[in-house]
Amino acid sequence: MSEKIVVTGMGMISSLGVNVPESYSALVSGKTGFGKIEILETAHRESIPAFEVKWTDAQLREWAGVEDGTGYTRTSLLALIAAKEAVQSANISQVETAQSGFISATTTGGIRELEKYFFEMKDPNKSGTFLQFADTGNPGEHTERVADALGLTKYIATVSTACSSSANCIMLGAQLLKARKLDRVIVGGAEALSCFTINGFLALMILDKGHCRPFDANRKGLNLGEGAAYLVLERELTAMARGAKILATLTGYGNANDAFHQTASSPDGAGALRSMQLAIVMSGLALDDIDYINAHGTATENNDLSEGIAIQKLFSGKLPMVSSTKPFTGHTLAAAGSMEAAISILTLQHQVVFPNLNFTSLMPELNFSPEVSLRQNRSVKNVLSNSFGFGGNTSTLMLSAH
Amino acid sequence: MKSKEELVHELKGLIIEKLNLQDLVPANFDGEVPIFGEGLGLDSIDAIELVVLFEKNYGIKFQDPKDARKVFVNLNTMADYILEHQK
Amino acid sequence: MESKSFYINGIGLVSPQQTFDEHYFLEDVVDYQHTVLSCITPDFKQYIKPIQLRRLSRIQRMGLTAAAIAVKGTQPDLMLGVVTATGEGSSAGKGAFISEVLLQEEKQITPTGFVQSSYNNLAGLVAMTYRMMGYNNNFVSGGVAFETALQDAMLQLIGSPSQEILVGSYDESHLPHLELDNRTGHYKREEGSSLLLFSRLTSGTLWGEGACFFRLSMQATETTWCSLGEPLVVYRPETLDIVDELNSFLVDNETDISSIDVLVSGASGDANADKQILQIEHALASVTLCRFKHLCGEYFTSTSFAVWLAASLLKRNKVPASTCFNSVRPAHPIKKVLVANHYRGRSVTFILLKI
Repeated sequence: MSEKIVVTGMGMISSLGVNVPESYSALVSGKTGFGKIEILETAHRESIPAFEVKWTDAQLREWAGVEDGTGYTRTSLLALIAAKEAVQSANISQVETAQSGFISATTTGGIRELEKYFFEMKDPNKSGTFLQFADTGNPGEHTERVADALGLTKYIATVSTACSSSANCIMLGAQLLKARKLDRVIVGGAEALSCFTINGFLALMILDKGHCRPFDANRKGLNLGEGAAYLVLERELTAMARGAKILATLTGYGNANDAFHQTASSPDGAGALRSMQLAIVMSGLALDDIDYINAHGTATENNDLSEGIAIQKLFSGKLPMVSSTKPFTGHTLAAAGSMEAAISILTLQHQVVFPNLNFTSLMPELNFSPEVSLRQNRSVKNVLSNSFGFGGNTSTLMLSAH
Repeated sequence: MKSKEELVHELKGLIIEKLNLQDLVPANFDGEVPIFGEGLGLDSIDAIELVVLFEKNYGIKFQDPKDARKVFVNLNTMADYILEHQK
Repeated sequence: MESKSFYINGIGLVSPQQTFDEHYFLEDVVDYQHTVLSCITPDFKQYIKPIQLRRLSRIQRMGLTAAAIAVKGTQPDLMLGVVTATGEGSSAGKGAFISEVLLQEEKQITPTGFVQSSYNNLAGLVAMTYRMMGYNNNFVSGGVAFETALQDAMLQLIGSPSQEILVGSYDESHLPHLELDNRTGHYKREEGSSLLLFSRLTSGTLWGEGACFFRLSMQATETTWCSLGEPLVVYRPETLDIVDELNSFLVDNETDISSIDVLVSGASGDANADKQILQIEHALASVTLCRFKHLCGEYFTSTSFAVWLAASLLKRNKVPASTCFNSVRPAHPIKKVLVANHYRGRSVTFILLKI
């Protein structure tokens, strides 16, 4: 018997703020995290803008309650701060937390520290405080680090499917709950900015040097961001039995592959269409029931075309509201899926759709425009949230008001 | 300044090397064989590799990858562009 | 909780031994004299189209070859999907890209190294090659990456029990990064025979690599090798009694120590990390003992090599002398094989395979 999976906690840190309330007040007041890179050391500080968490590692350590010199990478710090908020908002005890599974996503993990100390690390004659990062370069490390800090041992996994990663964590968590492998699971992703990703995306020529413009005819590419977001998932009955406050229901999800190109989506949006259809079928909802799509909308030429075509095909004519919130947060890669799930939950809670900033002209291939200003007091009961990644990965979540 | 023939020859060698085309180059890979699509079957990542190749070897920068695609038609169009823009 | 059964219907393994050859079963094994073990690779052109081959790194070629062997004679596009696992991804590609960014001071960077070092590139590559538009996921859960991928693949099969799914893993060793990766002393510093790994008294292990794919289903087919139960991962085993954990795993699998015919042990030759695994070997002292890390080295996803070895023991009903580490004669036929692996002592995995 399939049981409803509900969200009972969430935590988020990004360029918008250090927690969910700060993120919400930024979103609703139209304040974005866009700006100059000031914390990461990179040659591109003057030329490439980003959505940086404006706290140094030392400040983040303070927030997270972590000692200096203990080998916490920036990704781990962001993860720990958001995971702690999620646990706190779910109002679960230390014992209940310890019994929870933990599934986290990243595309870089400790690469920021690896690249910073790369040559020192390679030279066996060098030693120093950098050695705290000798074993933090692999992507699964941040998950174990946070699990250890929260005392979790039951089930620990790390997912990396590029920009759709944390949406896949949410899906896997729901499946483990349905299969009764776990009673509660903390799911999401974390990503610190690094020279590795900035130069990688720059080399692919898909970074906008201005503020990104999703679904605009003159879009020039994406902006990178950093942050972390986690949700606490439970079966509805478990949550209700302990009197938990239910934030939303995860009514559907779908994962597919575009099988088209390593770094490009198909022009017909086949993978995107398939993952949205899978999520809708699982939810048992009709197309008319969907009020809003939080699009992947990276503002690359390729993604927005492919995703836009898929949305257009799926809804043929009568479209729900659509917006990409990436002009607020930047593209936080592996954290984007869970961050946008959290934003979608804020939409459900506050009955407000956040705008697709910077949109002015319709794409010639599309017949719909995204929402360009804040839509308040709208009835929003069901939200589709898309996350697509390199490697052809397409994932969609359906979040509904409980 | 190199002649167009010299440039075509040089580009051919550079492209084969940079894009690992050693086993794939058709016997008739001359100035008119299309680089993308039906010809050599290169894709968008190759296009970016070529953009960097132009910058490194000829000091020519493309701001927009779309402009580059118009130049990367075949070896002749590439050589012509270099002759026109190299200082 | 009762454990469900799954079937392995095909395997492709590229490893530091000649395992890509389906007729080979560790008869003549290669003795490495260095700490870094590298895969013996076939002629990739026999498995991968030239146009695709040119853009692929060595580890991608190995991965795609392992997938090609595992899906041979099937229609992969009809499968449920593909789930992959890796600890470090392409460590050579990642290192090369970081070097390029640093040495060129972030100027004139080309994207190929970046694309190759995306941790999920193999899952994407396999999906693209075989037009697999279904489920696609990739795990990077450190030393249990393969185990979590296997658990996910099994969950997907439970949801679609009539289909097959592809699950695989890849990790690479890379000599130029030995110093980088050996800052924590996980690997041996002296040269020496890999085959004598377990007689060497120094700390650390060998750095190995491998790419492996399995075709799994919930129903036996004509090509079935053996059945495979759900893995149990014991995280942070030092806080627990590992033999108790083993016994409850066996109870869940409706068996006990006396019914096990062969133990495939992930002893790594590093006394510190091997503590729990040696307790398990001791508890199963009356069972034929096979070890494998002297053949493939230690790597994040080495459990895939162990599962290949266990499945091969069952399929061929034979224990290669190169893997045998006690004098208990194997049962005939071999019916039940227990895999007990660990990664740096941080986690211990149990998997039961049966005919």
